[in-house]
Amino acid sequence: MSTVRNEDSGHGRTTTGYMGKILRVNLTAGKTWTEDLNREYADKFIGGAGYAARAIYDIVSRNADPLCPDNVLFFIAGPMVGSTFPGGTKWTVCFRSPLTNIWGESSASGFFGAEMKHAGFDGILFTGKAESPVYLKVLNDTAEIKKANHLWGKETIQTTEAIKSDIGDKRVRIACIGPAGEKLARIACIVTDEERVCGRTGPGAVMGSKNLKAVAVRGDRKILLAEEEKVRKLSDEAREAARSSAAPAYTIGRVQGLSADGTARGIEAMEKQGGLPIKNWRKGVFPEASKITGTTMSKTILARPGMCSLCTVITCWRYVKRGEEGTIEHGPEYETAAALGSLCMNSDLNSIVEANSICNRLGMDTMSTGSAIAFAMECYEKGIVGKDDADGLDLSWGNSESILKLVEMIGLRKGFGKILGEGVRRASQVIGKGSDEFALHVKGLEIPMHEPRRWWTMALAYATSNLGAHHHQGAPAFLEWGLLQPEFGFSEKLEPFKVEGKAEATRFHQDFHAAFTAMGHCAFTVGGVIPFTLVSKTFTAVTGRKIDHWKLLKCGERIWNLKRAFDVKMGTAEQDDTLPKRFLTPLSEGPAAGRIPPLKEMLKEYYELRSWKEGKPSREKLEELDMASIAKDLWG
Amino acid sequence: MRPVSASPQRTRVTVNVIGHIYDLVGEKTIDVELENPTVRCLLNKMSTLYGEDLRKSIMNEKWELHVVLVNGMDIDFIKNLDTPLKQGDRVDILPLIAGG
Repeated sequence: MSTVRNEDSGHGRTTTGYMGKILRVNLTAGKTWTEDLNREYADKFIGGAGYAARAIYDIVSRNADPLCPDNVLFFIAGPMVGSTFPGGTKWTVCFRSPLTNIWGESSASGFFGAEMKHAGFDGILFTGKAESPVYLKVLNDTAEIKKANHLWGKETIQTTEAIKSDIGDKRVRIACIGPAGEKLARIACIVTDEERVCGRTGPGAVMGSKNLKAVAVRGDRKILLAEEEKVRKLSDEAREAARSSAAPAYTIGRVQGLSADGTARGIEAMEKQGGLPIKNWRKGVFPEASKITGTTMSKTILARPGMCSLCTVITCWRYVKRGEEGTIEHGPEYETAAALGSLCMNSDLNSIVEANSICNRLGMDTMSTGSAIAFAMECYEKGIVGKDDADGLDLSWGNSESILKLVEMIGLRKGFGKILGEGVRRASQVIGKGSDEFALHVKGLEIPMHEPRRWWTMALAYATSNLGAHHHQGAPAFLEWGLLQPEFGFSEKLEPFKVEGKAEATRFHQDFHAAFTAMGHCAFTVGGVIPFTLVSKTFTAVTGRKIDHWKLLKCGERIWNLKRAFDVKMGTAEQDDTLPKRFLTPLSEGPAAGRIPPLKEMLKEYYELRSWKEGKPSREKLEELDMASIAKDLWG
Repeated sequence: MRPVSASPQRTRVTVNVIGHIYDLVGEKTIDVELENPTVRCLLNKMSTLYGEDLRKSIMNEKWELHVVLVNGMDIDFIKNLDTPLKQGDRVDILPLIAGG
């Protein structure tokens, strides 16, 4: 097996914020080597998913199947990751998605990103496919491809423990796949820290297709900061701003909100406002919402809260007692509680905790898994799928026993679960009989748990996202909820059920999200808690790069347009910017009853604001964003 | 459900509280009777009834931290704190929400 030593061990390094090195791994050849960080890419696209998009644009071709060795897998952390600034924890994995065939990207918080940088690298770019199962060990500038036959078939927690034992260091941070990824379920995820998950768009399947079981990182390389003292001071200011912010219900200072009840506290409030998905998006009321909300979790099964590396602002993690034995594990987030709860009419909190645990251990995206089960339940209700088709399972709405069995079958790719593990678009193609009508997705990606008939910005965000329906590629509903960005001119809540301002807000939030994710920021800390001017000042103190928040937003716009250009190259077209018919039909009950988002009208305004033609960035826009080579590629 | 005060000539509304607000109020649903039936009066009365903790720990001076719905509609888009209330109205007080 190949090893490589990065001779520049941080001594004499001049890059600040960035480690200045990308680790390259060719799994086919069994070789590793390092490359300098491309400064031009870092300047234009910041880092993280922005940097990765520019690098991957040139590598991946339309003809290569996402599950063939030609696909890439880029683990990358932005310049703010590992700084002391609260919320600088997001790292990302980028690839061409096997679920959607377009841009694939998934972020996680936790500790892996910072540790990868301490090990000496901003990112690790995998190409090719190993002959047999392997894992990558990266310790202080040294990389080694290790055999992983003994790990193949293991669940994620077992894998993590086994690698820590192999390496003999409990502080190693591990990103790995479970059986779902090994068996190429297109909704498979990558799991780190036992639960911090790169969930969406199928990164686990890409890892599995490369015979790559895990990536283990550990190091003590210092992340150099341009103005260390200033970063410390600004970090203190950010913590203080969070404590006294307009959204203290979020923060640790008051031991409330996200800190007290986790993200799942939103379940009941969402239901009251008509924003919760219910019965595969067919109902507007779920009186049992209070049974599965974060507040109930706190009162019944919470063991303790937890937080990401250096967050110190929000303790949004939940450790809960699972099952009769009370095993302490990560508890479900909002999206999970909705997907495996109200979406399937399941009001049994313990079964949601159990289903979440199975997803984490076998390695599946909880949102796509819940969506696939809700789809299956509707097929069952309509008589399209019977007990015999579903391996004897009674798939009646809310049957929590069947939900648990089906989650496991999806992860192990057994029986009917194998079909569902392909995602709802492909599953409906296999099942046929008109089931595509209730296979709810955009561009192949299952819908996040925010009702687009209630939050019209999300209707537009889902339709135009470069990944398919996504809630972290712009979350403009924040501006409908009152989590505002006055520094960018969004100082008032958006009025519901009115078209005015929705396209502009959506475009802004998409660019904003692209920028702070590329930097390495968590959406909750910058989404209305810490003023973005503090973030941009810290970015300057971290990197030495003098840039204000408007220019960072411009970088976000550049990243957004680049990802769209990638999608166009992969074959996406204007007609793909749409929503399933169900969202263009009104609900008959609840606060959003009788409303449908005016998608055509919003899309028209959105394209004008973006200067896009037929869903494609115009030559002029790409040139304005200093991407002449991309413009040439797209327009000739 | 319990009536907080009783007076036949006043306007009675039903208030649902959710999340950590419930911990301070102690009940999920309460009936409140008001002399001046507006959201502002309702919130002031709740502060009086349940103590300054309710105000200090959850709401700022402008009551900005909550989503308040009257019969399912956000008061920001009715008349905000001056939104009138009538007999039998349903008021929901929610924490700020988020995904995850």
